[in-house]
Amino acid sequence: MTCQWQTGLLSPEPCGGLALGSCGSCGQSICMIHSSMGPSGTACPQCANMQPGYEQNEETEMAGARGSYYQQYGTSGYFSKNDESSVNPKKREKNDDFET
Amino acid sequence: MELAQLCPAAQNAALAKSITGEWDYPGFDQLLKELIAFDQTMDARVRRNLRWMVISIILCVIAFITMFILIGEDYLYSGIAAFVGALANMIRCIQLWRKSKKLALPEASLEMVHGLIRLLRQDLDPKAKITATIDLSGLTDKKKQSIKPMQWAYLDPWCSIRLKLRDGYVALVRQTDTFIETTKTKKGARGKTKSKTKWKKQCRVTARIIPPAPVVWGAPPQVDRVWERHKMVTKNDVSVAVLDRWWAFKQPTDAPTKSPAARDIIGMLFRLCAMRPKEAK
Ligand SMILES: [Zn+2]
Ligand SMILES: [Zn+2]
Repeated sequence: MTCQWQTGLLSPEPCGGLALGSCGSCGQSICMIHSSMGPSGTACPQCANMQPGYEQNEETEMAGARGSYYQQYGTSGYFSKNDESSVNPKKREKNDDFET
Repeated sequence: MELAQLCPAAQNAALAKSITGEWDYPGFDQLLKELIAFDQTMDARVRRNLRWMVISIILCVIAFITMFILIGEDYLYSGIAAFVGALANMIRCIQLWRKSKKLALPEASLEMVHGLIRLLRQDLDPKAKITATIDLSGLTDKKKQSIKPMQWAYLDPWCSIRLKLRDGYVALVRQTDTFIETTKTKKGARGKTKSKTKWKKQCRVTARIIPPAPVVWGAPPQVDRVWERHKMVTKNDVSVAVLDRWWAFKQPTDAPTKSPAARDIIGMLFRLCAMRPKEAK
């Protein structure tokens, strides 16, 4: 399994590093660099940024900034809906057929 | 951080008040971090020296008055000596304050550039360099021109950064600041003239996204009708997406130091990047 976390802001690319676990909130596979520990276990940078009690680092800061651009400028064109759900797990939960 | 503690590149940039050339991300990040730390030290020194300058002026006035009181007294020579000492001290304090002010850098500019490259670091082509031409000298007489009596303009095209993204696109950011200084003089009732200076600052940021080869761009970006303009320009047969944005700041007495935040400039690039065709992925 490789890390599914999308790195970057303008030209997102999957990390591709060796995944050692998965995010407890959104389920994507994540490597060591992209996992944070907190009250609800392991989380990806985006989920760690949105949930209280998680230690913030450069990756979570980046995830927070990126999420705010998706929120402000919508998800048209290059930054598609799929990308948005990959950087915005809350939306993914809503769209996830298995959850509903 | 003191000047001597900076790396040679940062020392050169701090003294020349400019950053030029090609940089890899870690080197550029380090350079900006050091310059920001240096500027914080200088700002603290400017504040401290200003305080000492004010104290020295007060002391000088007191010594001057005392000297007059002592006219005809035995201690007159001591009074004169005290005044001369206070005067010399005042001159030295003014010199120190001016010197520290000269070394300070425009922190809003440094922070904008640092914020920009820090958030875009993962998007950069690891094999490419960051090209920067950054003028940190601020308002100099060279940039000053008279518009009409008692009004001056300063044109400061201080920032140009070129970032090559890892998908082959190139992001260009340019910022030009225009300052308008207006002085108004009024004659008071007793014939005294009073002058008041007002400052206006307008910042214009132009963001461009240049594709590696001719592409079919997607829908135009969402723009703020008042402050932003979007256009496409053709350069060397390649159509380039451009977004301009203006900011305005006002301040009495001193030139405004506020500047657009990195956040907003990245937002401009983000919207232009959203116009890229899907297959570029
Ligand atoms: Zn997650
Ligand atoms: Zn990863």
